[in-house]
Amino acid sequence: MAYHDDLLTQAGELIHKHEPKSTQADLRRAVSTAYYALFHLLIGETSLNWNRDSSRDAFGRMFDHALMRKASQRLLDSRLFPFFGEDPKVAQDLKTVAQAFVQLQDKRHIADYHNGVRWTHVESLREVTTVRKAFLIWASIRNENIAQDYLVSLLIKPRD
Amino acid sequence: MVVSTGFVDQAQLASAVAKAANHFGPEVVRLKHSIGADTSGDPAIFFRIVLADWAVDEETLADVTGKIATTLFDEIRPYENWGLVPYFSFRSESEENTDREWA
Repeated sequence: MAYHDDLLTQAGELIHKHEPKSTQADLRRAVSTAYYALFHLLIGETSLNWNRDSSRDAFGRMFDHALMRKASQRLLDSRLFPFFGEDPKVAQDLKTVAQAFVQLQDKRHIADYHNGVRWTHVESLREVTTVRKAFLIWASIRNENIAQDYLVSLLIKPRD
Repeated sequence: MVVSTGFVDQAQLASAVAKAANHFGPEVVRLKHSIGADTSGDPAIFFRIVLADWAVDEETLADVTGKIATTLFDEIRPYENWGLVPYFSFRSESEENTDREWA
């Protein structure tokens, strides 16, 4: 399996590892791992467009968490991305993936660094299942032009 | 409240949230919101949603919570109308009764 698939599986295993007495480490690492699953899925998908196999891994190192979040946020603003003429279902699916990325990145930060925040099973499970759904959605739209445009936007610093 | 993009009229925002909440089914027991900054420092709206225990199932959780988030997204239009990044947190009713941190 690809690395991002392994990460998503691991996130699910962490959720259930000590259920119903999940530790905060289980729940927080599950959220963090789910974020990285989505992060690496998007990087992997973008890198597939890089033809030269020998430099694909180096290409993957170009991605920046903050830029990816900004690109995802911009896509969710209908003033910037009205998606006129696009299939509304595909546009909504793409927004679901982008929203998952924005949400998970923030949750990942809290899960990794904010010791004062207590996570519940449902809170963590929700984040993991959101990424699972994002994976399924992505598989169905990955060849659409707007999905491929989104991947490119993850690398580009917006010029406002 | 002043956020980096300007003023947010909290009464108007609360009214918009309450209006959006009318679209929910019985799976939503309670909805609260607050505004502040996210971990990147961007102005944000944080929704805290309590779900009925019967609505929490691993197989359907993403769909149930996704639908609630989409409703809030479409009704409130947080980016366009308020300049806020939306975030959603969900707990079950029994979790909320055990841990009153959210109350």
